Amino acid sequence: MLTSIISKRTVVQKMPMVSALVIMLVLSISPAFAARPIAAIAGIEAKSPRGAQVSGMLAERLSAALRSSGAFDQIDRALLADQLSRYGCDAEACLLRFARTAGVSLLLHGRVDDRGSALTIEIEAYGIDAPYFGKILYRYRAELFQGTAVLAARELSLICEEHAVRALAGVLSRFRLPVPLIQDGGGGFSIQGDVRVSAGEYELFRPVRSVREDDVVRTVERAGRVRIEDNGRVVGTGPALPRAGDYMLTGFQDEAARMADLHLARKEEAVFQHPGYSDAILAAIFSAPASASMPIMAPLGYYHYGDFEGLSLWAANAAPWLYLEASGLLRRPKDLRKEKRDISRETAARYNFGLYMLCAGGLPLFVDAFAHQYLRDASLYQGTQPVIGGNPTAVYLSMVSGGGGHFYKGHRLWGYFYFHINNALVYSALHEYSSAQRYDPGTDSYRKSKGDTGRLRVYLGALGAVKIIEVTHVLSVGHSISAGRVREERFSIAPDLIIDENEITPGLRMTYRF
Amino acid sequence: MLTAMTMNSAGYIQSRIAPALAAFMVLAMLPGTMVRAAEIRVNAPSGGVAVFVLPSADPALGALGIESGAALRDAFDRCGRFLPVEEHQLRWAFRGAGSTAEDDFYGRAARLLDVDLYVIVAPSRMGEIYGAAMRVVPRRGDLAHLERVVRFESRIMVNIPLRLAKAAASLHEGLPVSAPVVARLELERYLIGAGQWHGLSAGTFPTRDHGAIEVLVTGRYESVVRIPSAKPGIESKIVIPVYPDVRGQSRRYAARISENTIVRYGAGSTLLKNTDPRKRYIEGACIINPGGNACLPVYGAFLATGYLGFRDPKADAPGLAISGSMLALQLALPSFLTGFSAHFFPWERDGDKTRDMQRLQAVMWATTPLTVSAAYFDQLAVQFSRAGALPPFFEDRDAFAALCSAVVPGGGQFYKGRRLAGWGFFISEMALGACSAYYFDDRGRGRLLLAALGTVKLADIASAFFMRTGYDIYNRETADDRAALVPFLQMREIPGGEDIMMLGLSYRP
Repeated sequence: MLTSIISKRTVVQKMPMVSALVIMLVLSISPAFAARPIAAIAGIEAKSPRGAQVSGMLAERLSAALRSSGAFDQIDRALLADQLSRYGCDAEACLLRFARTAGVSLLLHGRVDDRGSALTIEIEAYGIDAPYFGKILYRYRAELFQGTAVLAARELSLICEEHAVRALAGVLSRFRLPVPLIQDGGGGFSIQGDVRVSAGEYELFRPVRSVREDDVVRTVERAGRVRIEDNGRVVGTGPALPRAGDYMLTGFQDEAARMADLHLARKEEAVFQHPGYSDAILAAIFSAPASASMPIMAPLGYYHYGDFEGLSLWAANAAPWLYLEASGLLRRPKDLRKEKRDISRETAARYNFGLYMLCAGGLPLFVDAFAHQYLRDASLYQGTQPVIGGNPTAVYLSMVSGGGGHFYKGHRLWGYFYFHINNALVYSALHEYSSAQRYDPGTDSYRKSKGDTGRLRVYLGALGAVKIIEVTHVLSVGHSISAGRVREERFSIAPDLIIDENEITPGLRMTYRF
Repeated sequence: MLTAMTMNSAGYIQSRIAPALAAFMVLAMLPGTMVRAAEIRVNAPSGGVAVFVLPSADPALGALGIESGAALRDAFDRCGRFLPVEEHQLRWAFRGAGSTAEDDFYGRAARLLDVDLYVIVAPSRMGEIYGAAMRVVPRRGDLAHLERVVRFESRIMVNIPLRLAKAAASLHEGLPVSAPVVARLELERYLIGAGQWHGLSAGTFPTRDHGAIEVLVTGRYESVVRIPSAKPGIESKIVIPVYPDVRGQSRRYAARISENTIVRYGAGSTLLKNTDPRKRYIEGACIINPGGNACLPVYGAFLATGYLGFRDPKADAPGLAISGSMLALQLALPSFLTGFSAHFFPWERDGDKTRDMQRLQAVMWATTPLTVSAAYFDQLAVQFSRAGALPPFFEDRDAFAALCSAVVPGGGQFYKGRRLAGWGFFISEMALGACSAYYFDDRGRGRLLLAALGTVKLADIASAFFMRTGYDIYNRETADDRAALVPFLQMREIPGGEDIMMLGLSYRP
């Protein structure tokens, strides 16, 4: 648009042509592909004073993360911000023009939206060269709900660091750098020495020749495949032989994964107090009292911490199992025996299930009521948290109860999933295990009739299998200590119900967030 | 500038970037340049929009104008059809357009910028009410249908830019990508002025005038396409049936407007400033109200609302009368049905009280907590409306209303301020519940009544979830811009303390 606007203007301004030509000359010596890609952080927008504080921290942390990744050279952030603001260059189109002119490969731009009780951080990454041609290659968005947490400068700084690292890890995992092949002088090809490319096979791309070689967007065709050998030599593996001007794409996935893992490990170290076996022993000691007191302590816990979502979920999910527990414990077989009444298998099973819920079955919901808040505090860097953070405890909880480990690690929905499966299987097994007792007035004794041992084995087998899956699963997931809700670029398909004030439209949503 | 930058920077990158930056800035700042600088051409020809905000001497209106301009540019940018003109370009156009006192100043500026569309925003203020008028002026004949003037008013200043942005997003309804041909390449390939920003991605798209086109590569604002069945000329437009997500954008702005309204009128900022209103609400419903009703049946429901911090609350007599009648009916119906010969208490059975009657009485007595809860929610709806405040949990109002309806018949309707609907569901469910209890042993009729009760309960929950709230302060702020006929059934107090019932259709032009 700008070009058309420029070209159609009737007003022609005077221009320092000589200066421009000199500058263009300087520009022309820039290589088409950077030896080491250049990244620029073109500012993080903010409107409120706190937003400005956060945006400053975020930009600083992004810069530090970029530096530590070792993947890019950077333009001095302060200098760039000064120049861009001086000339009012904050629109996307203007920033892209700048990036292309300055030979930048990766442009990061973001905004911080401060809405009082919530902060939203958005970071967009633009790839300037092929294969992106200025497109947004990654978009990172984090919503931070402060709640009752105190977010002072220290906490905000740590939160900014976390999001900067995660955003950059996301960018690096997707960014592809074009690495041109150069002639090695011996008739073969190699890659530039200062570009880090692992040995292996790569796809080879060849820009399609165009009558307009200055075009920003260029079509590219796949020319074949090449193999990079350990000594850096490039060997074509067909079908077409490589030639000068061809390039291959390399990425920084390893750096991205390392960066994200390292930061997570550091955060866990900082926010958890004593993750270890001692916590698991403590959990084992207090299992029965915690489980028995769950029907009272869990709602109080949710209420105390203002976790009304947790309270609602607890009420909806615990109700059927609490009913079984209460009905079992209030109608004990011992009392029926005293009254010389028949004891059905259902009654005996409910009683046994009530005992199970007293000893271990209520433990997961007790854990959820308290761990959720501790994890939230940990996620927002509100000091080091006791009791939570250990894998041994998570494994123990998963073994003795349904979903306890997942609740302990903050994965509430998985926790309820395993809680229901586990309880259903335990109840079914107890139903088969329990025996009905019929009172015989003639002998003044009870005759027992056993359940189906085959079905009992099936239920126990299924329970064992679920336990193995649950424990494996709980070990494979991390603690839910993300500072805020993060939405990353991804493709998703989901049923959708679009609710407006006036209409409801059912549909299927296919989304590729970019 | 070049010298300063070189001196301030160190190392290879700075020495490389400094001249590039300088060159870029020189070229960017000279929009009338005749140099064909390919290096800076990222932005291919495409539709443009200029957002002009009328200046104001009032600092608050000045801030509102800046926010409105930014929000409108954001809306146009997100919808991907009209690229907002950059600030420095606007300044350049203003310099060339003459004096603001002259007629058609903005029209001339828009002509200089050669935009497809321009928008003039005029912020205003009357006492506590902020407003803005937005005039949309298309400069292309095929966009003539977008010409319009919209006006918004709000007590919440930050909602004005969002409502303008929502209106701007709605301009894009059904606008396909209209991409100009920038250059003809070889092998039936063309460079067109539309890319990822416009919502275009690689793939094949049917077009009316150029047959099927294949998008081969996309940039942010440009793409290379293959057009096998036509030979479009340079500057000709290719209309590609890719449409902006207007509904998504509108929902996004609506959510922000709603959020701002809840922050402004929520119980936490109007009634209970130093405490958690959600906890108060639950304590009020679960502890204070039952306690109040135990001491003073029905009127206790009104007294319990005081726990939420209303200033000078006034009891709503019709609500108390309905709930009092319901409670009396629940306690006395079995006695009344038996000519007052049966024992008053449900746990006592005598010869005049059949088994069915005793069951009915037990259910009626057991459900009295529901009646006092409904009375409490009803009184709360009145108090919140009078105080101009929104109840706690309003950010999750639909789910919470459904939860209320699941527990208390009509509870969700009361929560959303729809009192008549609330009492309608309450009476229906209680009546069906009573009949189901009475005819429980009559399997056919009992089952039918239970099924009817279940159906009404589901309808109650669903309607509580989907129903629009009855709080005027909220509805005014979040009113949809589209014209619509909306049915309403409302009970409202008029000045002088009298209640009026209203049933009708409202039309929002």
